[in-house]
Amino acid sequence: MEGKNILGIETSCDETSVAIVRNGNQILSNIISSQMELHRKYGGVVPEIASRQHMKYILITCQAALKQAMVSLSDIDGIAVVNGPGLKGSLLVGLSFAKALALVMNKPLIGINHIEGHIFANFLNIQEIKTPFISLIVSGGHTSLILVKKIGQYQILGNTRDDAAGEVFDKIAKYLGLEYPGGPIIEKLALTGKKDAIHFPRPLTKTSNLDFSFSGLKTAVIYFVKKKKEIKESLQLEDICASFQQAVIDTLVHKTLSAAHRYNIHRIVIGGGVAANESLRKKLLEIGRKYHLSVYFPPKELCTDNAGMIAAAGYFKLINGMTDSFYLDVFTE
Amino acid sequence: MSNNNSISTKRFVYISQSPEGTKNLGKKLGKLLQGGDLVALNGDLGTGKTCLIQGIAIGLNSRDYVSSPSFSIIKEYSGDKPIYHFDLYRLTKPEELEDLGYEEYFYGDGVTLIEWAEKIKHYLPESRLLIRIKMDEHYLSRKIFFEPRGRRYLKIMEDIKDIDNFGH
Amino acid sequence: MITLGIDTATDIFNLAIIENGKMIVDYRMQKAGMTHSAVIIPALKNLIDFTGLELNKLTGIAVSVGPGSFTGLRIGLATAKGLAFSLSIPIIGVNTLESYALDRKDLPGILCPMMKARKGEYYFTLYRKENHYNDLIRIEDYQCKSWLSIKEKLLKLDQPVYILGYGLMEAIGNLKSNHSLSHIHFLIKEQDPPGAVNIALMGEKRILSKQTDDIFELSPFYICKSAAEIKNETRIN
Repeated sequence: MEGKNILGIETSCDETSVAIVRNGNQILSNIISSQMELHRKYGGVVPEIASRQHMKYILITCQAALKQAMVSLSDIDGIAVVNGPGLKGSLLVGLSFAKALALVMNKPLIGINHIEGHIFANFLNIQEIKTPFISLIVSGGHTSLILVKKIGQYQILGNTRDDAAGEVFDKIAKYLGLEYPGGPIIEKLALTGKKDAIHFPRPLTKTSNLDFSFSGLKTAVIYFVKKKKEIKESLQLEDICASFQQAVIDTLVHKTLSAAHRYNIHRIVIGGGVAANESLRKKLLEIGRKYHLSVYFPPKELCTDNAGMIAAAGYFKLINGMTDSFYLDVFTE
Repeated sequence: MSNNNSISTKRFVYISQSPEGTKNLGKKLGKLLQGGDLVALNGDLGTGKTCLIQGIAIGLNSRDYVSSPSFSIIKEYSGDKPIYHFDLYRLTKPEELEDLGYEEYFYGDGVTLIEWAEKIKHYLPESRLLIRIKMDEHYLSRKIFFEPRGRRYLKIMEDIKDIDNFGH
Repeated sequence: MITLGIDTATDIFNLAIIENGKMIVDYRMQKAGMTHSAVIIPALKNLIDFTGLELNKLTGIAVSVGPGSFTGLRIGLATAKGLAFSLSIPIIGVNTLESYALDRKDLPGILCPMMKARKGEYYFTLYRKENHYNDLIRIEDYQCKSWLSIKEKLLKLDQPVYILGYGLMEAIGNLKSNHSLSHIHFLIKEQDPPGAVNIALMGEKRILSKQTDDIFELSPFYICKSAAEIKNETRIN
């Protein structure tokens, strides 16, 4: 059978990433610019937000992706690129570059929604997941519940009304004086803490609405810490982290389960940076066993932003006839 | 210093007892804002900056979801006028603002709303509305301070201060 | 040699193709609602079809790197990089102010190209001429200043100076386009700035003199507030 190589491009926010994926699941290369510079990898430096960086990295990242995959541009069958949501100046670099490649190589252009990309991170390195399924995408920028009826047919069931779950992890971590990146550090501290030490709120879990809200949880943790500091009591960081993390996990799991029941779906597909959280994965698997649901996660390194997932999404859309014209534009939200 | 003699730092204060109160205040402010206006918000985590902005967006008749742009830094919504919602939480130095094409927003035709504006003090236009939000000592209510600069924003404050809970 | 010129620095979207110094096609459009991002490749595709030219016959890509619109420049430059990379041809970045000056190096004095920046400010620089080729030497940093500051600086010069600008009318006030103020001459036109044809011509010249740019490093031109002042003379042409 003829295989198809898709070149994926991701420049929606901080990272510049280019990947080449064959047949939607075989990663030939997946280059992420911040990881190309070794000092960043070990320095724990906050990624630069500058879209100026995308202009500098796009070409070298693309070249590295082709080299590692041992293919040339003429071996590429389609160009998949994130056209939103994200930072406009950043998205424009990736989209403009992608269009030029598609024009010269005379190959299809496929626009991918960044959130959609996270869903497809699950399709890499494994076999296809049957539709319909419910997807929970949870990261620093997004917390969404999506009903995937078919490839390319999505219904948003719920979104965060204020903060994204990953964002709250990072903000609380910073507030507690922990280092960057906050999520994994809270997860680590939580291992030795008691998750029921403090009862933090699980916002919006008492309604049938599938939207999320985490700003109330954020302020509850802040008040708790402030009060402790006022009365000069010591902070049991591990307990705070464990209890906070549990509140987030309970909320995410509760809503996902509600969605699965309401729409009578038996497959749950998770993605986004917070999907790397072990406790979340464990809890979801538990729920899966209890309610006979299949639960899928990407490997941890594919939970954060990367172009491999974009290339995978591109492949499936291409074979389903979903390509875009050169008039494709960016959208920010 | 400019020779605009209508620049004043008169202060106005509003006490908000709840997120709903903050949102309602935002709604009233939103109704008074026009294209080209800029509102800068300062306040610690959890003081309700995003909440106030959600109200402003409603006041500008936007139907879009207004959630925190901490990660994407700039979000754009449509309403009576385009709304540009900045969140500079992740900026590590003020110069990073230049990499975001800020001028097209600050000096454009939309309404610009900036959270964590203190990070880019020197980039703020001379004429703007600065809002500071502080938690009270029991963390139950918020004190919202308005510092209008420029004739336009003084006029807005004159129009808004007649609602309840406003003081000087 | 066939060179493609791309200009997305302003509200006017402009593509041009030249062959050995002669214009083949010059396509300009007032954006009016559409974004550069949406139209640039469709427009290029149409031009290719229209002129019967094949993309792989191009021998160079010249693109405006600013000053100008933040998003416009990113679209133009990222597109140019994609084209140059996939066609394996050289890329040349052209500064907008420089292209204005080169367009009028026939004028007998100091050249001051100007462009609108943010509210109340303008990008500008100064060039003088040297030798009988009229090589342009830049004698001032690229800067962003108010009209009053610029005027002050120009009044201090001891030679005639020509301000070259487009669409600056409302900004500079009620000055007529060929008005003069002491030794300052205003050559401000409402429209038709030198655009993609000019950029392509400069590109072609640079390819011939092997002064192409590093495709990896090329970035939008930037006047930083904190940038160090570089008062070197720069030879252009």
